[in-house]
Amino acid sequence: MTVSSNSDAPLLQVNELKTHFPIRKGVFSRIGGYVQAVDGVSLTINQGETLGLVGESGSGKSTFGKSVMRLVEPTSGEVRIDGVDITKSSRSEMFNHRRKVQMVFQDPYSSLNPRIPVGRIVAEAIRLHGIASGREAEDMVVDIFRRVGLQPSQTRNYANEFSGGQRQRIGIARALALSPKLIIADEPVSALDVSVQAQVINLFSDLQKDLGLSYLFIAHDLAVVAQISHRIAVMYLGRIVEVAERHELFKNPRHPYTKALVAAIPTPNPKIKPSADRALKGDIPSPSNPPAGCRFHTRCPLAEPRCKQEVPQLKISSSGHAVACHLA
Amino acid sequence: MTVTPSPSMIEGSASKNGWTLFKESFQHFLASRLNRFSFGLTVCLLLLIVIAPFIAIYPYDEVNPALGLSPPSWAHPMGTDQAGRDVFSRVIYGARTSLSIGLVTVLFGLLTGVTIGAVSGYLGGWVDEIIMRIVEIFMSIPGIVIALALVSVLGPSLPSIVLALSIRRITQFARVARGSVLSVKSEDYVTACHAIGMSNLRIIFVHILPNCIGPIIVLASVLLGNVILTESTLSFLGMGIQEPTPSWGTMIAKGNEYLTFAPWISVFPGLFLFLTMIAFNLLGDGLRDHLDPRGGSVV
Repeated sequence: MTVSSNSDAPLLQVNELKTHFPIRKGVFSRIGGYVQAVDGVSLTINQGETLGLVGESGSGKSTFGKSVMRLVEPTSGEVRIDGVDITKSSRSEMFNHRRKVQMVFQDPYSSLNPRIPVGRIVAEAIRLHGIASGREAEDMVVDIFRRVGLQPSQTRNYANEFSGGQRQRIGIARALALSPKLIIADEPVSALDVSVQAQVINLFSDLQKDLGLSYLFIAHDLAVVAQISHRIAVMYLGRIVEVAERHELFKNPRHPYTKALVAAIPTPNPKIKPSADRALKGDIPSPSNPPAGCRFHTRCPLAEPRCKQEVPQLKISSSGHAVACHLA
Repeated sequence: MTVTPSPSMIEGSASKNGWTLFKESFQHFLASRLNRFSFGLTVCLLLLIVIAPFIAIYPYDEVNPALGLSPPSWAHPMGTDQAGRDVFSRVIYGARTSLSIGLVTVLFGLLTGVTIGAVSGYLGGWVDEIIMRIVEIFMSIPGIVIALALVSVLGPSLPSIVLALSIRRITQFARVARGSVLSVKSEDYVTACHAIGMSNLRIIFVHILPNCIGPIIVLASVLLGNVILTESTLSFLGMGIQEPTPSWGTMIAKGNEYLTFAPWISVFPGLFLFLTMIAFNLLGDGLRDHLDPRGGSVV
């Protein structure tokens, strides 16, 4: 598997991306503050690589995924796809960029229009982008259906006739319709049964091998991300706290938050007691009023006075392991 | 419940042509006894509009004071009114005015209101604020006052009555459509449309509105009867259908004075109004379920 890219620019390069949502109050919609959902995130994804993005609910990982596709407008920062910053692209330029990046959604039940046959859902993207039309488009849909493990005859069925796992395959088929280079998978398996999860993750892996796809794989479950990712980024309250190669992250987690997450992965050995002292206490603070300094200091077992004042920067070590912690 | 998609849903994805699909879908629609009943009744009522002159026994305006207020008999199956006009013939002719006013008003209100509401709900922000405040201004004025004002300006002709009655329905359809659009537009399949770069217009009309038709069909079938009755209020105030042209609403309203001793004047047009309501409500319900590929009773 290629982790480094042959071309000079990485497939996706995100620089200091911020997505803030205004909080409107009162009759005249006065802006009372901002939800800092994504607050200065920088990441790169190379051709053929899977970057896992983990974090708990409210950490901004889904917003980050949508910002990269401009499904929500980023407040500032750059999103470079093949070296081109799309945050300033016009509507028609954006239309062309969309062929390169597609998305798979979390909820397979709300991500397919119940009134349109699934084959037409997939064909729509092909027709809209003028890739093919008529019979040719239908043949393409059949090919894609085979690729994701569905029967060609199923193109005429409606979404309600499929199981959750099959629906997610259709969602993947829709994303593949434009032959993208990067797929943003926003918790694609968290709504599925564990046995089905494995099948869908295998499908993702197979597609990557066959088509050389890159993934931004968003999840809240480290165990799931571990199966598919080459590198893993850990997000907390709108910021990246740690990025490392998969094995490195599990063997040698350096941020206290990552340590807690890794310690929380259940082991199949009943004799190993989960370390209760590693369990994090409390909830994630509100992204509309994040703590000063290191955002994790309110829950960090190791917090020092300076953690409350100084914002730790993401420091990259020689091995490519990056951590944002004063103590690491 | 079994499912047969409507023809428009599978166009292009199947090898059968549109007409065959429509026929199959229609046959499946008629497989339900309730649908057969409502469809049959609707067809009969609409047929009245066309064949009224052939089944009405008397001209609707033939006055016969000697026979005023006579009860139903073989000569006058539904009796006569205060002027001795045959109630049966007037009910049959009344279908023309009442049904056409009802259907045209509801259809016009639906098309305009749903478009306004859908655009408003979809765009959101200040566009939504402005449109909905205007809608609320119209809602705050009693419908009959707006209708009276419009008819007195435009004169009591059929188009102006339809227009006057539509204003209120437009606001009602706009509100219902906006509400449904708001809930549907946050579904992931709409986000997926944005992700492939689909135009807003196509998203609204192909992906959002078809998922909003449940409440809209229900509202349409309820408003149909409502419009027919409101027309009678206009007529009562001298701004609606002018005598001697019969309309069900006017007949019910005028017959009120004689209700205790000549109930047939109001009861028979009331019965037809009731049948119309039943037919269109059941047809609406059946259509809604039929058009929903989930086959359930999801509104």
